[in-house]
Amino acid sequence: MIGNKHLVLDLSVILDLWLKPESSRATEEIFACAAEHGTCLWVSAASLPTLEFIAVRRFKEKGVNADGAARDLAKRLIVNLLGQVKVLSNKGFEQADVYLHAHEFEDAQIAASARCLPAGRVRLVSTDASFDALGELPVYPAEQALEWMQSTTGSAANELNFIDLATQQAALRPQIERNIETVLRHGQYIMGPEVKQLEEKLATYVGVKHCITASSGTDTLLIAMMALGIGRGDEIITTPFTFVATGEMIALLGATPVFVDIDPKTYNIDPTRIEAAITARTKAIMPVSLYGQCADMDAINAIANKHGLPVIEDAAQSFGATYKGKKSCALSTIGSTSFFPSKPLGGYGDGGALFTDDDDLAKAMREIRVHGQDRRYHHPRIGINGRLDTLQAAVVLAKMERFNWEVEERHKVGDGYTAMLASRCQGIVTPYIEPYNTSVYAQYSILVANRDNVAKRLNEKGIPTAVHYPVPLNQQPAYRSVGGGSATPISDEISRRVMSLPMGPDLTSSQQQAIVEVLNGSINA
Amino acid sequence: MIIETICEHGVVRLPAELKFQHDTFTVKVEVPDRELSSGAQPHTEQRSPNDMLSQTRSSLRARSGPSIRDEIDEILGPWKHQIQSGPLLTADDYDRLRHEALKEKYLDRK
Ligand SMILES: Cc1ncc(COP(=O)(O)O)c(C=O)c1O
Repeated sequence: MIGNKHLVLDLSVILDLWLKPESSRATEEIFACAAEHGTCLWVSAASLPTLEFIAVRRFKEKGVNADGAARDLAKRLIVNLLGQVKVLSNKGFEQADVYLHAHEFEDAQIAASARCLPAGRVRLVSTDASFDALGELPVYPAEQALEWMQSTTGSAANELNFIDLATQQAALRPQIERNIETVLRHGQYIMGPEVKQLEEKLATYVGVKHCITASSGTDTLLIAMMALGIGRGDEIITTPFTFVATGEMIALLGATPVFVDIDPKTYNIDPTRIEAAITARTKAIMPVSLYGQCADMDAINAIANKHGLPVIEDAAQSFGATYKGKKSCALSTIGSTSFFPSKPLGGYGDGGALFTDDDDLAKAMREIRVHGQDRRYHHPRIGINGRLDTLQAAVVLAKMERFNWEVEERHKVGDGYTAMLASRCQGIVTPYIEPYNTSVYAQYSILVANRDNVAKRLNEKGIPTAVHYPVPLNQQPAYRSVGGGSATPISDEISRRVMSLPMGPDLTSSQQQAIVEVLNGSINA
Repeated sequence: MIIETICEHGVVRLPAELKFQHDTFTVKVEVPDRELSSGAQPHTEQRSPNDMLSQTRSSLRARSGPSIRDEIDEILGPWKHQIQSGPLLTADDYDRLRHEALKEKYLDRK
């Protein structure tokens, strides 16, 4: 676990570390075991010049006078420090306000630079008991900070979010700031260099030839179907147990979503029911890799091949998952994913990406994304404005730096839930993951009998829950006349019982234990 | 990517035409065994700040390496005793040092 608690080290404790080893045992211990206790160490950029001034002055005073030697020592110490801690930025826009509220401007700047960290999980470490933290965060001497770090209080345990994006943001703060700042500096807000960089990175990650980023995981579905020439009168086979976007884009193109019921174990489209739904009007199959687990793509591709149909994997929830060793999005004609903030690879706004090995489809999708143009003001096809903002690409690029780790953690958290629930809770159905799949658990969704009551009790105890999804698409008012009416009894049944628990790579096992404890009590109440 | 370059007096320089995303990052270098003089130990000579940053970054990930105290001692090297000897520094000393440093930087500058 990294980054659940945060210690901001004032320059007084750093100077002691360098100049007064006798007084800095606790600080040494903080450095030694911060990682083990999920604690991130920070210094404020506001501290750095003063640190250098004082250290150099002291070295000179102590006789380190050879040409440049004092400065060189200080430089080495600061560089060493910067390798061990992260640096908090000071923001120009709030300096006047900080100054007006400060008793000690330098202290206040350090405190203000910690405003980007999750409130309640931050302590300022200083030898100065009168440190001016603007009343915004507690100031501890190193000994107390060490104790706090090693205790369970102040971790995220008390404030559970359904998805904890704050911990991730703190862990990636310097990278996110760097990437956003780079875009602000070069100013290429539309199709800037980050978009291309991200597409290259994602294509390599997934293992396909082409990645085309787009404005959302909804627009990617639209672009994919437009590239395949899908339109009025066509039929697309899909699942009713999904987010509305899947069926919505089919209907928007004037085509008909043909809803095929799901597998009762994985909740993904049941391949054994697909062939019966194929007609002369069928133009594509669009499985959804729900909750982060891929649909049975080999079985689906075999049927598609037999009937000459393309397959679009709606992998909005499964980026990072694998199917028989291959990555989600690399499993069919086109893979489509979403960078909605809560998705396994999320941005800070809308975004999505398409993946294909097919050169012609890639070209078509690239053109459709930008008003159907193949060059400026020349439009061989109808398109949309479906580009990913450069700023979003910059954010997703930063998120990629932690993504492999997060996927590993998602496996551990998901498997951990399943093990805890199996041993502690009766009357719950935990997610079934096919042996050939790895899930990224975009959602950790269980089945319970009395969902509303269970959810109410969990919510009362501060544990957020969600339902993905309470009504299958074919039962939604707008879809009854489009592709609705088909009987999908398994989807109906699952949608009545399914409930999602808090999930994410930064969920700690003690948080999970607390959730399972309350859940157990709620089921049996 | 793998590239071939020359190691001169222990310094490896990457071709100038390569542009990098970040100022500082870690690379792996393969050193032919025949180039090692006997008794050579990795990580002895003075290291550049950039080398140090890469090294401490990796030790940040898995703190099984030297403690921060060992690292500081290594940096202070022969100066360590001289710098840390004498009466304990007080908060007043730090204030004095700060004022003297600022005075030297801004008021005494010719
Ligand atoms: C299965 C599925 N398809 C499509 C989408 C649409 O993605 P976006 O929100 O990026 O438009 C989502 C996201 O919520 C989804 O879960």
